[in-house]
Amino acid sequence: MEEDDWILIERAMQGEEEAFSMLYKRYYSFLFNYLLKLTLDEQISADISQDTMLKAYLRLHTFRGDSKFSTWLISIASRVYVDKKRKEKRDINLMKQMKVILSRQLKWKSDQLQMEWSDYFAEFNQLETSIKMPILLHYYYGYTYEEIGEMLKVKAGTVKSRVHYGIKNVRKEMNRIE
Amino acid sequence: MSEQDKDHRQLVQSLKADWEKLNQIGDEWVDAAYLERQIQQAQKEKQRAMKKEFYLFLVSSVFIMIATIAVILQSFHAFVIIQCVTLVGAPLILFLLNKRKKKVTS
Repeated sequence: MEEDDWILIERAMQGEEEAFSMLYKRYYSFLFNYLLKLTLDEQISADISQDTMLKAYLRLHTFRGDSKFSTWLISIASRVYVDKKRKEKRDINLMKQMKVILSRQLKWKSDQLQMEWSDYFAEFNQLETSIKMPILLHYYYGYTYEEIGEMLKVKAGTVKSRVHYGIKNVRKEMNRIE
Repeated sequence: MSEQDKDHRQLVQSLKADWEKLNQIGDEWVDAAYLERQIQQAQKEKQRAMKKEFYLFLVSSVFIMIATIAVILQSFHAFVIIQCVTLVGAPLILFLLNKRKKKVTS
């Protein structure tokens, strides 16, 4: 962990609001971008980012510094997102009928920037959160299966099998389309 | 490199490229004014949480104190009387303090 981060965390723990504000500015975008990759919705990502930062602020004294501050934030955000999904379980049938796609605002922005998305990306976004999350953390953020297991409170073996299952499924769907 | 490895590599590379694009969109979405608002809101929430914790601590400490006094005096009547006085008196003091605070700030 950066020494600078640790100093800010200690100052924020002592109640210095300016230090917390600096931490917030430093990590909000990182957190928001992580959630955007999972939710594909800016509003939901913003809500969860805010929830996560507040939770981190209130529980700052529990942060021991044995991992990076960003890792700690990602693990809180992941759990907040999973809880939110669980609460939405009532609407699961409705969700199953709809394909998970970019939010309207996000689509408008990506069209404006003339961005195109791969077919793999479309298939990846159809996976369940519990599968999507470890794939993103492993292949994009470079976390090991053990680290992801600790973050999501599951066994490393489970993480590994979820990653393999998810990738296999995406490939299978792609082969079916072709 | 086997065909399967090639496929796997291509899949991961494509996903990484798409996630990079999402980063680009995300970075544009978060601006300084928005962050300031969020920080202020978080600070307010923290103050609210701390106040709640403080009141809870106050109520439980008053209860424990009264119970201890009652045990020392070995009188149930003393317990009830002190409890009633506190239940009426504490909110009244709080109300008066808040009123004074409002007067000072206005």
